Amino acid sequence: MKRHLRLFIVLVMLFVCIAGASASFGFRPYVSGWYGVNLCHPTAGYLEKYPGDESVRTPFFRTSSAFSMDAQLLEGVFSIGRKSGISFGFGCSYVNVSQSKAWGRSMLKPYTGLGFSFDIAYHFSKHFELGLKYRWLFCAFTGSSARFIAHDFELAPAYTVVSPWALDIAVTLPVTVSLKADAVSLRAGVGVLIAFDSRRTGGKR
Amino acid sequence: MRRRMVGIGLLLALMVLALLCSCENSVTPPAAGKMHIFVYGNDYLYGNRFYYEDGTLAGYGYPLRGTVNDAMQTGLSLCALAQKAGYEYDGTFMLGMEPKEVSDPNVTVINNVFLDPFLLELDALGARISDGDITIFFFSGHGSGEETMLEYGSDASERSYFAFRQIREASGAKDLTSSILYPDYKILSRIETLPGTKVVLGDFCFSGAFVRPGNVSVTPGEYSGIDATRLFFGYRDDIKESSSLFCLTAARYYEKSWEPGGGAHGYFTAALLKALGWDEKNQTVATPAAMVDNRITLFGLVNYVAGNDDKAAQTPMTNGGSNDIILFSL
Repeated sequence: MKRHLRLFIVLVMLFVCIAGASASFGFRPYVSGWYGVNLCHPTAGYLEKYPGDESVRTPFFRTSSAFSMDAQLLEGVFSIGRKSGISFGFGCSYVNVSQSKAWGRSMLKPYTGLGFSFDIAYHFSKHFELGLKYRWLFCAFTGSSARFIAHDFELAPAYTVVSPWALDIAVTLPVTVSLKADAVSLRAGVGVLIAFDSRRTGGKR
Repeated sequence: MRRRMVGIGLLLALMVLALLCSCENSVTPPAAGKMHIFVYGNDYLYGNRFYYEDGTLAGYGYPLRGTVNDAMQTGLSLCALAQKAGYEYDGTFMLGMEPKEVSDPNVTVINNVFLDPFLLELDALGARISDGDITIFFFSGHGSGEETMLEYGSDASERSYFAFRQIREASGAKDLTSSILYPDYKILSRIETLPGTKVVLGDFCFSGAFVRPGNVSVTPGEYSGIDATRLFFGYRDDIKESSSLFCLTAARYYEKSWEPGGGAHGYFTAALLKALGWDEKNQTVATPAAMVDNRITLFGLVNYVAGNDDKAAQTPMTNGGSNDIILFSL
């Protein structure tokens, strides 16, 4: 066990030394928010029998709108060379899904979720990054105390439009797959990401 | 490059089209069927003894005063809303011993209904329901059960009972009528087999036993042993069994349900009638407190009564899960 630990530490040190020659590390906390469509596919047959006649099936997807906000406060960026790099971190998330469109006598309840998120993003260039995010959300149906757990997996390409001072302001097009016990949801939207890059806070000469 | 862009564009367009074809907009909803309103209110003015099915004495109950009125006014409010919403509807009101009259020609009032005639009425109802129909049940009376919280996933309906009018005994010059405790799971299993969507409302002690486990969302204090894993993974498969049955009860399966001393209505029913907008004095529908976007949904009723039943000792209980039922579109 100790041997493996030693080997791991040596490898990490080696990686840091090699990468350190041409790389830089900084902090890049960001806030992002997006609004879009939520397509929910109920699983476990919960809606399949509605309204009792087995020949009647619910639509494959139930539509509603979704709003999400993330505050990735502990976010590090590790850049290799001048343009590309990797950022990763931890933050908190908020998700709000509206009541679905009515279909017959059925509607899906609106809910709100609050939780944690972990993300990793690859910066292809100064302007373009592709982020992958996992959210663990503790949700409650709006106006009630009925609770459940949801897991979100998000892929979000972001294009930086302007970079005033040490900020990057980007447009994102996130696509999310959300899992909860009785449904799988697909979300897509458009949003804004505002990041603060600590490596750019030094004064110009 | 241009050809590739066109290809990607076409692929995206096809994906969007496929998604749109899978949504509500492109799938015709089922035709709105009839609404059936089925209410049962027991009274205890002529006897308060309770027996189990095998005839053994279970105990004595408080002579509740508001139960028949609960059933009567809830039934009338539901009929008035059905009429206002333009639904085809019928009502079966099973009330206590005192004869009652209802002017609505769609309503049949039956007095002094014992357990067996009740079950026959339920069978008769089943024969006239279609798959697209919705049936709203309301029960008001005494309930019996145990005041202990169960582990998440346990079914309380086997140890809880609703008191139906049943046993008549002649004791001297008096005609005594007592009640029989009929298990909740037997009532539920009868209702579950009926076609269409079923909504069960219950205002009686331990009525939360009507809410079967197997829900993907829970409220705090419903069960013991709830953790994040069970909230996410637990009881997925059970949900299918009751997909067309929705319940809202006055109390949890381990709580009693109460009525104030005056005897007008139980706390739960009073809140329910406000949620439905029932003006009892004028026998008409005013503005339903639970109405949002001109709709009254079961979830709307749940949220209203949970916050407005004015009795901390009882907590309304309902099914979990994502689905909500539109009861009335006004």
